[in-house]
Amino acid sequence: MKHFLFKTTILCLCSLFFFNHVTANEAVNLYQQRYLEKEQKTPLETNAFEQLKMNLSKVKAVEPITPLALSPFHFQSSNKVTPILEQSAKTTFCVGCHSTKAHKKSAKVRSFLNMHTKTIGCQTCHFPQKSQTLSYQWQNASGDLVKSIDLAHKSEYLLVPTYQGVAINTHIDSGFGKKIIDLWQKNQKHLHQDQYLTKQALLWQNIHQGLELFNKNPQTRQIKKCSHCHQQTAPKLDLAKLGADKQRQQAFEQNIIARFFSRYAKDDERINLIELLN
Amino acid sequence: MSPVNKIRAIPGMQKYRYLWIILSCALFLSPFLIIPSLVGNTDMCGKLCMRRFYLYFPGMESGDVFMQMQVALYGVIGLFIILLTTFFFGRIWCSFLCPMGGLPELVSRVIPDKWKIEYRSLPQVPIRYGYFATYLVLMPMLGISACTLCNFITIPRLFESFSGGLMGIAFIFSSVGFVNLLLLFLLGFFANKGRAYCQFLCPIGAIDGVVNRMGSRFKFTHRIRVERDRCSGCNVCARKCMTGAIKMVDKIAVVDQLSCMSCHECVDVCDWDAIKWTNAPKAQQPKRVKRDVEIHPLPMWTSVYHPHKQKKGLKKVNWGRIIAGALFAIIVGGVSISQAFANERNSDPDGCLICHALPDLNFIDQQGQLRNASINSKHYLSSLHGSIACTDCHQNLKYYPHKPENIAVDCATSCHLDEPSKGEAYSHKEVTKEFQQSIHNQGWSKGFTAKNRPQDNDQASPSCRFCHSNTSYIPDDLITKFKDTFAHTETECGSCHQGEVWLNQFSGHILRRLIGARWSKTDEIAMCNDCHDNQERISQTKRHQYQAQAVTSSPNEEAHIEAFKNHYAKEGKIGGDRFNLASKSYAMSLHSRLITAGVEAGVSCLQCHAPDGFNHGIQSQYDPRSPTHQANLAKTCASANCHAFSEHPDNQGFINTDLHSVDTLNWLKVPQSLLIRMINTPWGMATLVLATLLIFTLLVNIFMAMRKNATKGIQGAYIGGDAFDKHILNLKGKTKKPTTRPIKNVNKTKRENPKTKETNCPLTTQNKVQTSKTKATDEQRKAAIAKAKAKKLAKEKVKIVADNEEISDQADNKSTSEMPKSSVDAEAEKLARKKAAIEKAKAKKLAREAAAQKQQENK
Repeated sequence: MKHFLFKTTILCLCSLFFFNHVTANEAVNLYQQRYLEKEQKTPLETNAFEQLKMNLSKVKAVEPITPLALSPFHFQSSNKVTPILEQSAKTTFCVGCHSTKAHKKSAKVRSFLNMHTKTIGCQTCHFPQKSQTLSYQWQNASGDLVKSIDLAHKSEYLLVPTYQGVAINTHIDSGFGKKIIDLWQKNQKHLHQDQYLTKQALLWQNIHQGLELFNKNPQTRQIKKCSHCHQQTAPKLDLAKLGADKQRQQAFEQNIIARFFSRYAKDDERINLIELLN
Repeated sequence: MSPVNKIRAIPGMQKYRYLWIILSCALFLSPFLIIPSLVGNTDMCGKLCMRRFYLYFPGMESGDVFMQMQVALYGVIGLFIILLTTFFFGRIWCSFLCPMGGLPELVSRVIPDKWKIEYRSLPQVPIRYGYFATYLVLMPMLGISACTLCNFITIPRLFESFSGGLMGIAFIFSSVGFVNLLLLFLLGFFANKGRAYCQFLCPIGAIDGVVNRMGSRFKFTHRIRVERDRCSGCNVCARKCMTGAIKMVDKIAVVDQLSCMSCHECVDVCDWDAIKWTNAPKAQQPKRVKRDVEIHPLPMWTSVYHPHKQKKGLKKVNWGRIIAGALFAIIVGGVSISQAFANERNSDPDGCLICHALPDLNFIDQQGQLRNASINSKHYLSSLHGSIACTDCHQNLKYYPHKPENIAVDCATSCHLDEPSKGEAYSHKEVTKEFQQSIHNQGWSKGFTAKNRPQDNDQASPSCRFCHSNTSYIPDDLITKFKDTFAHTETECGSCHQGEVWLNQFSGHILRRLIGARWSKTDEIAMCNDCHDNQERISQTKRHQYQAQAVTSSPNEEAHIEAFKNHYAKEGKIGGDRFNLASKSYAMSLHSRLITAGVEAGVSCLQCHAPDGFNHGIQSQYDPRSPTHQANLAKTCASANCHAFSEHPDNQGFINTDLHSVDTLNWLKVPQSLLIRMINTPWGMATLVLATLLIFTLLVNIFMAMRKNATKGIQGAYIGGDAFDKHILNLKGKTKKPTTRPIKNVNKTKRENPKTKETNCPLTTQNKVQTSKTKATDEQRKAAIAKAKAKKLAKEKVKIVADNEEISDQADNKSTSEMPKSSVDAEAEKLARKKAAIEKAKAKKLAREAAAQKQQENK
């Protein structure tokens, strides 16, 4: 027992010591803390783990096709990369692997969710508050939290969750971020060898375990609902604080698409379009 | 002679003439070097070009004359002025002003004569007028444009290529460019005196020559004229004549007025004042007439000499048709444009835009394609299809998420919108039918829409969307104009058509067409070039993909279609060079370059391949339905008021113009197979022949120069020089330099009947009346002369003998030395000095001769 305690403290201290090699401005945010906590825990059960390993070895990067051979028939809004998107693409941990158009599987919501990546950070939806109370604030391109903004310049800010005043947003350039990336890439090269695959699978697990991804229980799911934010009573976001006026708040809370989707619980259900107008 | 002295030696008149040529070159040719806007327009100076006189052709009616003249008006006027001056003053345009002839002439004068080809001995008149007839009549009928051989295109083109950027320089390396360049070399720089093109090929020269010849009949016109009595037959004028117009007939110069350019060379070199540029003044009384013989005869300046027939007075000439320049036709036109403000047309009845108007509604699919569902609603509502509800085209969409097979749109769908002129539901069905039969129908595939999505990047053929997009009614850059115009519709159109609906929908629709379709000609070309200019893509396109279906069941058409199918079967599935390079070769043509230069008169791909009413049915040129089929070309060229005369059966040459000629393409960038094929084409073959001729010429010149043959006479050109001497100068064997003036020949050849050698001169012995007295005196004189001669001979003999004796005596005396020394010595010294002097003189003579010989050899 003593020996065990001693080991853990030494390890903790070492890891803390290691992770304290960060830039002076960075505080360790909640995501990192969860990462560190998870690191010590046991991995998934064998089947799932094997499945994970297999998936990892099969993953292939899909290069986006540009430019298109044919211009689209419908003239589309500009697909410009805003400063905050650029910034997030450069700095945020998630976007580095997943890009800003990460949603692919659910045909129902994928486009809508991709649309949101311009305004809210990945962790806003995917980082569940457990025992902690998270508040949501705007973060500008250089990583500073700002109080309230003029919503006309919404494109320059990203909505991120914060815990105890620290934004839950990991930068690639931080020591933590770099370490994770190094580890990932080191194991990436030798994926045909089992030990590397295992290591990478473990790493993957640790990265994603703090996020809301493995909760199969629809009752306790905290994310995957538009109505989480787009609802009238007790919404997650304090809109007034974020800078929305009365009219805007109303439009946000009574968003027709969110209401449209909320009528249908199952993913594969086809929704009658005509109901959109009811 | 040093170059400075050489220049000083040029006669004053010639210097004056060279100056004019240089000035005109600077005036007419230098713009091509500098102003890039002329690039692409291979007409010299466009409407000003003199060769535009060629506006007559068979089948032309009187009304057409005026229309054609306005096209070529300045050129025609220019030509008329030239002909007028030629009538009175000789061909001074050619010799003093023309840069096309003057430039090669000046350049060729720098090259020594012997290196050049002697063309002047060729029979000029038959060649020139034979070619002229071919040029005017035969070549157009055969469809060959002789204009590309004309120096009026060749020289400006070559200058133009230096300001034309890469396309310009590339032109020099095409078959056509090479032929032009080689012709310039062979007929210009390497021609003796540099005027071979002028004499043989220039059509203006041909007409000019005729006018020159006709005008020389009159005595008041200034021409190069010969005073036959003064001509000594020295040949110098004939040698110097740069057109070879002077021929020595019985050792008197005769000027061929069809070829003479009044350049004054002959006048400057004649020592006898026997040739002059002058009119023939009225005959006056000679100073004296004795016994029917004019003493101090007045000069008779003859311009035209016919040894066997003399014609006087105005000869009836067949003038033929002469078309003079005329009035301008003023084109009055204009389109009054009214403007409409394109309001939102229709709300969205199905509510699609609730979602689809959101920005960034997109995801990346499994193939990496970005699937963007966000639509700019403002743009859509102001687009061509703005009045159409979403489900009118996307007819199968009922649920969300949309099933992929239901999303696609068939352009042949008829929508709910009523087409006002027909009262029926509007549909693109007919167009799709036409398209399905076209050569691009591979763009149509199953369901017509499977290949219509942006993710289908590897289409072999264009689909509807490839060319068409859903544009706004009025593009942004025209919106102000549109608005201004719309202000009028409320008052003019709006006086009958009232109401918001009309203003928003119909006027906008109409005005859009009035202001102009979205595609400019440049856009059209760019659209076709998207595929056709992409070498990788087009060279792998399989062409023989469909069976041509007969539109009618006429037997003629079926035969055509059979031939068409066989052609494809022969040609194989992948297109040949002509097809693959169609885009590039068209880009070199005038039609395309006009558009590049921003001139609206240019022609885009669609105007020939998809003219009015045939928009979607683009066919191969071998398909009898195609507007580019040989049988239909005339109609196509005549459409849109372009070349209205192309439908005339005598105007076949026009239709045979090849707008996709690979001969205009740069050889340096052409693949190997094309190079070989080029040699098989007429232009390529012409390049080969001309290049061979040029190389042969150079080799002969070099070879002959290296041979050590001492030429005491004048060295003419190695090639053709002998023929010149024989035919023009009427000399046999090599000519000798006339160093002495053969004064004694003057009286001899005058008024001598060459056949019988009889003369009328009373002073010659044979014409003298032979009386007995005169006979006696003659004989006496003869005897006296003979006697005197004999005496002289005898004296000389004696002298020689005496001299010899003297010398031998003196020699003897010398040996004995008994003679008084002083006298002997003195005499011996005298002798010795004499001998030495003689020997010195001998040596000097030898040395001089040797030096002279050396000089001759060096020459």
